[in-house]
This record gives sequence, structure tokens and C-alpha cells, in this order.
Amino acid sequence: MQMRSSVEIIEYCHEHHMSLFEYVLAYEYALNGQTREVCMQQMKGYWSIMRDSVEKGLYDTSKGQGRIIQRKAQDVYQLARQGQTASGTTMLKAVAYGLAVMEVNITMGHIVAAPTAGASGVLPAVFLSLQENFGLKDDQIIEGLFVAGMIGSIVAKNASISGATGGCQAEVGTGAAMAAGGGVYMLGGSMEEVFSAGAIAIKNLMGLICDPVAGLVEVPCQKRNGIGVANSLMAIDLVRAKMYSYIPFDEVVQAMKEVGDLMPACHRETGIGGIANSKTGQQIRKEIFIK
Amino acid sequence: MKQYSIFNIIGPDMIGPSSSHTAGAAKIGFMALKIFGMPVKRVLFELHGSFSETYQGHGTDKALLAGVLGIQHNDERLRDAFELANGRVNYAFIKQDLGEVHPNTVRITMEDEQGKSCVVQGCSIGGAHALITKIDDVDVEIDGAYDTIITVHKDQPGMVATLSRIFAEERINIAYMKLYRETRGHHAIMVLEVDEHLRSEQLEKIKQQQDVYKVRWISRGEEKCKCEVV
Repeated sequence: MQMRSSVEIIEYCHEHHMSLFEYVLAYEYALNGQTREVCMQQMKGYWSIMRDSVEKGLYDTSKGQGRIIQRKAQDVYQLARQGQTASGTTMLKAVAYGLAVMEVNITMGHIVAAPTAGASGVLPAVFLSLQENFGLKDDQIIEGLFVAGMIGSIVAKNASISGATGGCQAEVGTGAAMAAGGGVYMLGGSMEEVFSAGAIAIKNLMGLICDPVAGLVEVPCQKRNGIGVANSLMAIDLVRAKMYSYIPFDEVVQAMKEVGDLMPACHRETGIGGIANSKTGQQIRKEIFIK
Repeated sequence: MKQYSIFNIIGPDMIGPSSSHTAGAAKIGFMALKIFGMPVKRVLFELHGSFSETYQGHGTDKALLAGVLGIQHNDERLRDAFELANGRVNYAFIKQDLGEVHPNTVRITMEDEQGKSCVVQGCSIGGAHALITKIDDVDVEIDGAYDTIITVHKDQPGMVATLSRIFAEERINIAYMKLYRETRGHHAIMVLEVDEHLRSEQLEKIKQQQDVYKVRWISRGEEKCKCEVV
């Protein structure tokens, strides 16, 4: 069993009358002998940590601020709850969840990398939002997480999930694709629709560079997680309205690799290009590291 | 071609902010402690490359120290490593050029109460994965995915056969095996990664073999060791 391409996986699943979730479990078993129970248990544990990290980010500010950023997720969440928003309550709440996880990450709190620590806000935020709005059970969420992991695995195999290799598109872009594909799965979409949502999410963030100010996982990483969440929710709804990606998922991943390969080193997590190289970005760097 | 487990993509759960500079660093420290196998009293961290440039911003220093104290990459106490070390462990961080090595490399020199010491070098290779690259003066490559046994023995014919016979008797399957030596006829080092979980009496059996000078055991992944300081 492989995690090489969506075409291969869909074909296999059709042939063997399997769901994507069952495929992933069979894959894990073939790879390292992990049983269904062990896998389910581990993912349940991760989901509980993900939910806690949203909660902590929104309600517990005792762990202080970041080196650069202030704790703002709470304020965004309040605005979403009050109702008068430009982007809508559901959207803004979900974005606040993503920002909250990043605040926990930045203040050395407990998070789950998905696919990395720098993009760890997207998946919990999107899944928690879907759980609230569609009344999804935890078991459905766990299945969705496995499908999200499958999408990330295919990207890791064919392109990259590291900002140092492929830029932010590889981290937040992949995170958004995982959340979008897993989300469509949980809402009962077909296999083709799962990958279509993943393709849309990656396309919308393609070319995004990794340019952390002072090399820290704060600016612009936190708000990039926010756009990852918004992007993912949009991709899910487009697919639910039967508006699909013209370019197939596997080809989008290939294009993402090409873009990553052509990306100069200064835009790949070195902290010397893009926003990091702006006048203010440089100023912040000096203030933090040259005292 | 490498296959990725789903849990390499979702996971690990970890203390932020960086999988390479925080979680990976904690894993190096923790593996170093397991290799040393004794509670650490004094420790020196020599930071190379990107580790030396940005270690404070990512809590790399706290993570490394936490690991050596026995606190793992997903333990919230990691944040308080300095406070926890106070009065228990003397520690120091210095910047050092370690030569042609991975940019996220650290050399850790540990000492126990009796002054016995061990030097372990490792690097954080991304996605919270860590690799031990050197133990004392010998180059190795250990990622902690399996139970790992490291023997220091006399470089002479029959040693591999002797040790692998014990594994056969104990029904332990060797997944990977590598041999290293410095000069012919002196000390040789064998690194064995095995599928089964090892028991201490099995290690004793290896230790008792003639011409085996030293045996180190690193239990896999997140399994605890008995030499935690906190």
C-alpha cells in the first residue's frame, strides 16, 4: 500500500470497497504493524490535545505574550461572538481558534504538529468549527483526522511539508489542504471531492513564502494560520456546492513542488527575505537579538 | 523511497514553538541522557549553526536542558527547565563551530556525581526528528525509533557471531546493525536496532560476554529511562 497519489488510492478503494479512512488504517498496519486500536487511541489523544490548545489559547493567558506578538485571539473571538463581523461569525470564530493555537505554540504550550508546529493552528480550528456547526461526533472527527493525515502524507511524499524546503505553501498550504480534505470527508463527500477540496486549498496558497521576522514562529506565521483556516473553510463549501478544482490534486502537488524548488533560499525560513527583510522586520530582529 | 506514517504528519504532540528547534532539541537531550544512563550532575551544550544563532528565540536551550533532565518534548515542564535544574544540575551553553555538520547540531558533554562523563552529538533534522551522530569519538546514526543497543568490544573475529547468537537465543529480531571501529584490533562499536522491547536481564547477558567492554541501551522513542533528574 502506498501514499503516492490520489488516483492510485481512489482506484484501490473503489476496487476493494474501502473508505479513505479504512485505507489509511490498512496503510499504517502495513507500514509498521500498528493495529486499528493503537492508531485510534493515538489519534484520540491528539484530538484531545488539539481541542485543549484552542481552549487554552482563548481563555488562559497566564503563560504571557510572544517575543513579538501580543495575545489577540481572545479579542477576535469576542468580536465573532458579538455578531457584527465582516467575515461572518462561523468564519471569524474558526480563525480565532487557529490564532489561539498559535499563541499557545508561541508561549511554549502543548500543541500537535499538523503538519508542523508553525502550521499547527489550521487543522484543529477547521475541525472544531465543523464539529460545532454540523454536530459531528468525536468518532467522525477521528476518521477525518486520518484522512487529513493521508493528504499530508501524499504532499510530504511528492513535494514537501517543510518551510525550509518549500516555503509557507508547504506548511500552511498543506495544513489547509489536510483540513479541507478531511472536512469534506466528515461531511460525507465522495473520495474525488475530498481531493478536490485539497487541491483548491493548495492552489489558493501556492507560492506563499516562509519569511519569519527574526526567525521566530510569530510574524507573519500566526495570521497565516488564520488565512489557512479561512481558505480551508471556503474550499470545503465550494466543493459542497459542486464547484470543483479543474486541476487534479496530484498535479497541483507536483506544481507546488516545482514552485518550492524554484523558491530562493531567502524565502525559505531563513528569516532574511520578504517580511523579515522589511524595515520594521529588521528593526524587530535587532531589538530581540542584539541587546 | 521513504513512506511517511500518518503520525509523522499529524503529530508529534509537542511543546512549541518549533518542531526542529524545540521538539527536536528536546529529543536530542533525552536520547543523550538515555545513552549516558546516569543522572546528570554537570552538562555543557555546544551549539552549532542555526542552533547557535536562534536558540533563545525558540527555547532550544530550555528544550535541550529539559531532555537531559528527563523531560520530554511533549511535557509542559519543558518551559521551566532552568528553574527545575537549579540546585540539581550545573549547566552551560556556548556557541561552537563543530565543522561540517548539520546546521542544527549540538554537542553535549555530561558528567555524573562521580565525575564519569560522556559526550554525545546530535542534530535536529526537521519535523521534530532527531539523530544522534556521535557518541564519545565514534560516528553513529541513531534515531531512537527502535530499542538500540550499543556495544564497545574488542575488534576481533567472532564478536558479531557471539552477540547475534544471544539475540537468536532470546528471540530478538535485529532490524538494523552497523559496525564501527577506529583502528584495527582495538575497540570496535556495534549499533543494533531491534524490533522487540529489551529486558534488563537480556542486557546483562550481553555484558557478561568476554571482550565486551561496555554496553549501552537506548529504549525506543518516548519510553522513560531510570536516570531522570526531575
